[in-house]
Amino acid sequence: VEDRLEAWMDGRVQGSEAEDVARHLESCFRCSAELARLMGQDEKLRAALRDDPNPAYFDSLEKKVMSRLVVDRARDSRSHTRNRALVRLAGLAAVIAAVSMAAVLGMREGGGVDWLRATLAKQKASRAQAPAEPAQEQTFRESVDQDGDAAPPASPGKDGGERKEGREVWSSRSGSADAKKVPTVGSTAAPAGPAAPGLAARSGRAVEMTVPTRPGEESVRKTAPTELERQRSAASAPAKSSAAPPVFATKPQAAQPLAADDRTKQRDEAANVRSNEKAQDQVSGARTDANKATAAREPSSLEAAAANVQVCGKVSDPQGRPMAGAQVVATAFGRISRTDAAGGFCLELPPGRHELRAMSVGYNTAVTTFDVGYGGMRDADLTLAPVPALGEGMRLPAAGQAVPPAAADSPASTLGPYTRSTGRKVAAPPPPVPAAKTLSGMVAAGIRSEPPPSVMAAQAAELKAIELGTALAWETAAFSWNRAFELLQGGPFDATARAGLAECRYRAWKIMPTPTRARAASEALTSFLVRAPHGPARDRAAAWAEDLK
Amino acid sequence: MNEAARRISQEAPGDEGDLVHRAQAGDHRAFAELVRRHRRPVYRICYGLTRSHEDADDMTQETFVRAYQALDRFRVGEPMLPWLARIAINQSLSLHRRRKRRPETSIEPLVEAGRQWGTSDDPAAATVSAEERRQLLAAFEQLGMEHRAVLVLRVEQEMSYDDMAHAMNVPIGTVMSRLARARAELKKRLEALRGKKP
Repeated sequence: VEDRLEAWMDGRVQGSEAEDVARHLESCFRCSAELARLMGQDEKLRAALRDDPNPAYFDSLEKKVMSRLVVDRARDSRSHTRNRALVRLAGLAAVIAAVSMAAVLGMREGGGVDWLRATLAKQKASRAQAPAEPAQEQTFRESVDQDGDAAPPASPGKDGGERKEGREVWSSRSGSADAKKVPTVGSTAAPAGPAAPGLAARSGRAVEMTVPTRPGEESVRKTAPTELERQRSAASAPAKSSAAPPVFATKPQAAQPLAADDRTKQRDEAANVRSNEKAQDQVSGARTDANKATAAREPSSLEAAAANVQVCGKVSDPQGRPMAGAQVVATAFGRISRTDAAGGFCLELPPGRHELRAMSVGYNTAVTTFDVGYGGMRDADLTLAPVPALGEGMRLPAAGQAVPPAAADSPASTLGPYTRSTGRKVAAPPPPVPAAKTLSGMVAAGIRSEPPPSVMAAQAAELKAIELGTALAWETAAFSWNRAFELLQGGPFDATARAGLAECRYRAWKIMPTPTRARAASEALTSFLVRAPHGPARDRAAAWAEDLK
Repeated sequence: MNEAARRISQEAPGDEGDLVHRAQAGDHRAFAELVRRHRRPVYRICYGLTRSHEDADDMTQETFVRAYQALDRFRVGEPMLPWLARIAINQSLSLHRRRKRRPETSIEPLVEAGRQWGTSDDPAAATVSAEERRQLLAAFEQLGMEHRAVLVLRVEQEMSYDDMAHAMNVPIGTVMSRLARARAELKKRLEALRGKKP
C-alpha cells in the first residue's frame, strides 16, 4: 500500500484497489500520517510555485511570440514551404513601399532620384536574372537593407515625418508576412503627412494586412484602433487612468524596425515593460486596497475608467444545487465576491481572459478560465462546480445543527467508517458532537470577524470527522487544522486552530490509542493550553490532557 | 446550467482542434489564440524548471516558436499542453546542459528578482510563511531537472499521469517512480535545510 499511496493521492488508483488503500489508511497510522505529510508538501509547493508575474506580462509575452514568428518565418522561409508565398508577398510589399517612399523623398528633396533609379534597376535586374523564388527572397533581404539605409543617402535634411514613413514601410512589410486583411491598419500610413499623398495611397495598398503587434506602434498609430488595440488598451487602462506610466508607450524609439537579429532590443523592451509593470503592479495593489476599503461593491473611478464588464455567474455543487456563501475570486485581479442564497455572484472585470476560483468550506477549489468580451454589460452564467474534498457523501449541516452519526451510506466516500476495516477491538467512537460544541467552535465563538478559508476548511474537515467518526477522518481534520495554524501565523484565529488541532488529535487517539497519537495529542493540547484563556474550553482541554496521562 | 453557461463551458476547450487546424494552415490569429490559452501554464512550467523569470520568459517564447514550427507534427485531438510541456522540458534540459558546461553562467535562480514584481495567483500562497516558502523553494531548486519537471507537472499543473508520460516522453511506470523519488528527494533536502537552522 505504501507504494501506491502517492498514486492513490494523485487519483491514479481506481476502483477496488482504491478502496483497499482507503481501508488500509483507516487502520495504519503510519500511512495516514505519511499521506498527510505528502499532501501538505504538495500543497505548499503548489502555492510556492504559482508565483506569476503581473497579468500584463502575459499580454506582452504573446506579442513577443507573435513578433518573433514573423521574423523567424521570414528568416527560415527556405525551409518552410508554407511561408514562401507569404514572404514573397512581403518582399513585394516592401518593394512597393520602398519605391513609394523613395519617390516621395525624391519629389521632396530632389536628391534621391539617382539612388531610386539605381535601386529600381538593381531590382529589375535581379528579377530578370532569377525569376524563381530565391530572387524574390533576395529582393526581400535587399529591401531590409534598404529599409535601414534608405533615409541617409536620400535625404540629408530629412525630418521626423519622413523617418516615420521609413518605419511605416517596415510595418507594412513585416505585416504583410501575415497576409491577413485588416484594412484599418492601412491608416498607419495616413499620418505620414499631406506631403505624401502618393505614399499614403500606395502604402494603403501595401499594408492591407495585419501588422504584427509590436508594443510601440501605438504611439505612431493615430486612427481606427484594431480589435487587438482595444483589447490592449482595455488591459492597460487601469494603469493609464491613474497616471501611471503606460505599459508600452514609454519606449522613445517606439516604431523602429525590428531587425531579424534584434533580440536584444526586444529584451530592452521587455525590461521596459517590466519596469512599467512594476508601477502598474503598485497601482493595482493600491486598487485592491481601495476596493477593500469601499467594500468592493461600488466600482471605483479607476474601475469605471477601465470599462469593466459585470460578470455574473452561479456556483453550484456537482448535483446542480446552488451553493450559498461560496467565495469567488478573480485571481489575477484580486476581486472577491460571495454567492447569495441562489448561488449567484457578480464581479466587475476588465475585458480579457480571466481565471475564476470558487471556494467553499469542505469543497475543493474549482477553477475556470473564460473570456470577458468587449464593451457593454455581460450577463453570462458560469457554473463552477466545487467537488467535496472529503468524499462525495458529505453534506454540510446548517449552523448549530447536530450532525448525524457516521454515515455508513456515504456513497463514493473514500474514507469509509472505521469499523469496516479490521477485526481489532477498539474503543467505540465518541458520540457525535454538535458543530458549535467543538473546542474550536467554543474558542471561535467570541471572534467577530469571518474566519479565513483555511480555518473554514478545517472546520469542515472536523465536521466530516464528526460525521464519519473514524480515526483517519480525525487525522485528516487534524492535518487541516495544522495547515490552518501554519497559514495563520498568529491573529485572532490562532487559538481556534490550536483548539481544533488539539481536539482532532485527542479524538484520533481516543478512537485508536497508539503511543504516537498520544504524544501528538499531548503536544497539541499543551500548545492550546499555554494560550487558552480561562473558561469552559480550557477546562475541557485540561480534562482531556488528564485523560491522556 | 443555462444556455450561456453551457456555451462558455463548451467554448473553453472545445474548439482547440479547429484552432490547430487553422494554425496549421497558416492562420496567424488562430495560433495567437492558442498562445493566449497556454501562455500561463507554459510560463509556469518554464519558471518551475528554471526558477528565473528571465530564463522562463525566453524559454516560453522559444517553446511557442518551436511549437509553431512543429505544428504540422501535432496530432489534433490530443491535449496540447503536454505537448508544449515536452518542448519546454527538452529546452530546459539542453539549457541545463549548456549551463553545466559553462559554469560561469549560473543557473542560480533569481527568485527574489522574480518576486519583486510578481503577484501571486493564490490568496493562500501569500499567507504561507515567507521562511517556509523560501526553504521549500531552496530545496526544490536543489533538485535535478527531471525531478523538477515531474513535480511541476504533477503538483503545480495537476496533470494526469498519462499526460505527464506524454510530456516527458517516458512510460507511466517511470512517471510514478520518478515522482516518488522527486517527492522523497524534496523531503530529504527540506529536512536537511531545516536541520541547518538553529
